[in-house]
Amino acid sequence: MKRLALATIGFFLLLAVLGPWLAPYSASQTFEGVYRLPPLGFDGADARFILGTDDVGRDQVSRLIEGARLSLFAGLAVTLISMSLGVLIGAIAGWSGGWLESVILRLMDTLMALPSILLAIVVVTILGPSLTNAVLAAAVTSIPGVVRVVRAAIAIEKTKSYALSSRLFGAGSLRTVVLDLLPNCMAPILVQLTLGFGDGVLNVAALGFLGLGARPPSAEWGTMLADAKGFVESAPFLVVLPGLCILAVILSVNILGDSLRDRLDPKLRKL
Amino acid sequence: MVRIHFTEWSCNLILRAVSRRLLEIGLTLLGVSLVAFFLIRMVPGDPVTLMIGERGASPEAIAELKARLGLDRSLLEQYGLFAAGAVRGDLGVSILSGRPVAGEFLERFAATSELGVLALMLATIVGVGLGIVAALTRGRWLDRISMSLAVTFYSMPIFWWGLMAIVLFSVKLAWLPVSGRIAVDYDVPLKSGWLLIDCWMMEAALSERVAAFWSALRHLTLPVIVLATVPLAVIARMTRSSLLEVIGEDYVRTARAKGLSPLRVIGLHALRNALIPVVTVVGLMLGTILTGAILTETIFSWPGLGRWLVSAVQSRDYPVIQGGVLLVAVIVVTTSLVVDLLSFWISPRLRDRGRS
Repeated sequence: MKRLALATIGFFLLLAVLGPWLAPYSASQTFEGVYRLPPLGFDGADARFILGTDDVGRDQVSRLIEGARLSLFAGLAVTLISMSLGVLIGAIAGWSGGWLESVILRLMDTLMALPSILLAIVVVTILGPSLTNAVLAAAVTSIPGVVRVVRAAIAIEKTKSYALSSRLFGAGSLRTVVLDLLPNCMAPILVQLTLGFGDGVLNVAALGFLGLGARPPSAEWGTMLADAKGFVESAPFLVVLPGLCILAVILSVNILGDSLRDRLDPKLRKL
Repeated sequence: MVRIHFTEWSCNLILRAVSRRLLEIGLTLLGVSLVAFFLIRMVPGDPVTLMIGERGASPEAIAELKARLGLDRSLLEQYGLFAAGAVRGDLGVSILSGRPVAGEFLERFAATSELGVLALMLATIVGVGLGIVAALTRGRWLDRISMSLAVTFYSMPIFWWGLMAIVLFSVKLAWLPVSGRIAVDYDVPLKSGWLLIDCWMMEAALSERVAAFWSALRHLTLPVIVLATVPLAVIARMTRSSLLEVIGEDYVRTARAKGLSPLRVIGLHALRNALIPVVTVVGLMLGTILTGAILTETIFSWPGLGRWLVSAVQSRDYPVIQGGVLLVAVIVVTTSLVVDLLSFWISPRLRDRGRS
């Protein structure tokens, strides 16, 4: 199961990186007279288009490959932004304690009390719909989770004796937190990183699906789904394929996250 | 029932914890009101211009409308009015419909809660069942299948899942309707807001009431299943790991050693304790349900809270956004308080931790 998950992630990463060389056509190239062709093996399929074509005659294989690039990099960007800000804020909260910690925690509670998709929708409406802004919106909604995990981990680690001895040897706050405490909080941070990547891909796709992410003719998977929504009856495969890609990526990431959690920290297994 | 003795001491502790939580909740709600108020005003375009269109109205008419809606005042003043009203329970009126925000909220909330409560019930029943099966067949194929199913459900992009359900059950098989709450042939007056109940309350022949109920149930089926998917997976995983932990405990071994049947050991002794963390998780799923409801309602054209708020963002209906979001936050925050109290009450371990 874990190997399959790794292979799947590797496969999609390969598609994402080598996309332009692997794709048979350009993602935006349209072909005359071949609209909504089914994949090979179905009636009316065309050997030139293995997974068929969409409503304006673009090759599905090329678009899904382009989508892998957009969706995976969007997920990666969400993770990087939310992790770096989340770890920073969480570490400050956990280390400082006192009123600063309270203020930060109340702020995070505030963000968590808003339904995350709604928050993302408002942020995107402010900034205007685009892939970049969808990434920013998805990052904003996933920061509170990271902050809570990192704060809790730092708050536990800082009471341990090694933290005290680091201080006794004259290390400053920054040095103690970054060099001594954070490396010991790596287990929950790594797990959060993995699961956050899956959430990032999912949320960007959800915004794309709602018409608030990447704009058509972009081949981001969620946007492709939104484009194909109208053809649910006449060309269901246009809806099936991008969704299957999203599911495959998120499923693999979650399986990896689970096994990472089991390996790194048996205590976390329950959550 | 688990019998609990509360000493004066532990009552005191609970009281202190609760008052602290209430203060935190107050601050969180203050934060939510500020965020909702200012964030929606950062969205380009204002409700008045969107309402009467870019052209076709004189600047005087626009100014007058703005004055009537109170949008000509300073932001601080507007927030003050909103906050003062909210404390008194008055959330103003929707710019678009002219109706009180609180009333519209209740109507929409009824639709969402009918969906959400049924989804949570389905998720709990199937999730706990799946978790028990997995725990009892630990490491064997049934366990593997159940947990593979759980992680798949957990990873499901529900907007796609909803479309797939429509393709299969509404388009290909034509078993279930595509959207809406009930077929247009039925005119059910809303009393409780839950159509499944209101169908029985309406004054009509029994056959018609049954038919209306059947129609409402058929409309609920797909959205409930789609909305239940992710919570179901979380509950199944939680039940499994919690039950596995409990099965290793001394009292379960004692019960087994006494010669009790496996059914009694699991059902009477193990399950009761294993379900404590599951209760917490079920409560915390509320947030997931609310977020999921926004997507589910969009796919199935369900006239609930999610669609109401999203369309209010699009029309810049300030009172609906700030009031609606505040009420949603009240629900989320109150539930998490109740869940905390519940788990404190049920779990002897948590109480003991407070004592030491």
